[in-house]
Amino acid sequence: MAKLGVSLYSYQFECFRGILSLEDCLAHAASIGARGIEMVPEQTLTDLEYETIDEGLVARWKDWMSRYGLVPTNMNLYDDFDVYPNRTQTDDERYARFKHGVLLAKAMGFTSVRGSSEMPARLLERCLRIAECHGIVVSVEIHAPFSLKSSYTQEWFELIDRTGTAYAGIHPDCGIFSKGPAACRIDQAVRRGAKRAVIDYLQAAYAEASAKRQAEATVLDLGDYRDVVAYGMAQPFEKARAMGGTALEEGLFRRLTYDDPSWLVEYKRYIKHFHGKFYDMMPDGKGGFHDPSVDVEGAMSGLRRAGYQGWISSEYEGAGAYRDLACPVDGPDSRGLVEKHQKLMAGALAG
Amino acid sequence: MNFLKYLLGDEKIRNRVVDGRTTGFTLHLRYPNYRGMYLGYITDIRVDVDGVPHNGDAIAVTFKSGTFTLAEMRSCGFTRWNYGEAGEVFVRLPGGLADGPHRIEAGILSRGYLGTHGEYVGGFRDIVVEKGAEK
Repeated sequence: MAKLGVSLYSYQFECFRGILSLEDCLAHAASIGARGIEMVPEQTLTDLEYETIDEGLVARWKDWMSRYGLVPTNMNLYDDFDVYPNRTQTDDERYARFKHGVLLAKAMGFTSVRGSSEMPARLLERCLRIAECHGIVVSVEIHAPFSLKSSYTQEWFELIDRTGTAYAGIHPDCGIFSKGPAACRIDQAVRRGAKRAVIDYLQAAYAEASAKRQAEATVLDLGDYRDVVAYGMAQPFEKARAMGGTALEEGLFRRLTYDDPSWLVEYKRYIKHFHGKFYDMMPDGKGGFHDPSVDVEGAMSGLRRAGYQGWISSEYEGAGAYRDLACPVDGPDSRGLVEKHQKLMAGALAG
Repeated sequence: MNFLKYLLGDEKIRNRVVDGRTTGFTLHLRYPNYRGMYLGYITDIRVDVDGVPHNGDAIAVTFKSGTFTLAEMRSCGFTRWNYGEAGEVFVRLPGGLADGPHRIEAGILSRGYLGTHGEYVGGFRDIVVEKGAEK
């Protein structure tokens, strides 16, 4: 049975506002029965704590893990190759950043780090070696618009097979099992002027395209994620424009993908971690809740059938949909949403 | 500018007086994304006072880690605008904000996939300045 955890990313609204401290977030996760803790260190830690691997921070962190009965799981590292406006970072600089992240993760007790989809294979292979030396798994996040069956993912699988290392794999993001845009994001787009009729048309087209994608099950060469257009949606996007649609409606669908959850079984040997991405928690469903936009039940069923024993982190992704001035509420109740999502995952994993 | 909630802080907007001369004013701004932003990604900060823009060389920002002009930020690949941190933005404006009501708009322009995609993102406030400090 998979183990349930929380990504601190989920509490981003409350952390940004200063409503929750880091310890408050950990205490909340523990209070709802979660045991694994995932982190985006550039969100949770200051630059000084990150760069110096601050001893005081590490000591406090270990004390909290012990006090609340929590286990660090995955630390999300990034590859900001374009941080300088006048040049791209060299491979050596990017490798040094990754290596520092591995040392930070190890000091704090994390067992895996996120490999960035920005990284070319030549660099990932180098990163793999230093991570393996420290007993840390490099887990590449498979996030929409990428898919388990996209060439980027398949090339990573080939690299893992070629090196033969046990310290490499993937963590699929549950957003690759997308049934459509989340209600909170649709509401925000409508506040900005999007037309519901155009969204409804695109939703129907997306359902059709997704069914075709799953039936065909081919590996897609998606190229740069910035340029990806959701599978089968180029023509519907043209029609949506003819209906009076704009980038607002298209943007809701542009990077969606709906992988067949059975592909989790097909690629189970590579799965090292899992991002339980979710948006709106609605009543009814496994454990009492469902997410209308993400196929959480399908993904959990796939992981169960795959015999997955690793961590799944609740990763609430809706905070950005509450930030426009016209939004009628201050922000999401991240704690309540995470608690509901934990119940949904537990229910869905139980079958 | 694209305005979002909670970016322009509630902290008082104050004139800055150095050696008896008012050199400009300060406000507090937060970075609009889900993780801290390396300063090398910051392209510009613009503060409009009653529709008159001040940006580029007129701006410096103080973080817990120190004070940076925009030119200095460009070479910073390690120092971040930390998540949720209110950077104190200094706007050089000799004489400072005049007493009376003002519309202050402040936004950040930044690069990268967590950047602001070609538009300034920030917030606005309507304030009244009385004897050099916002009431």
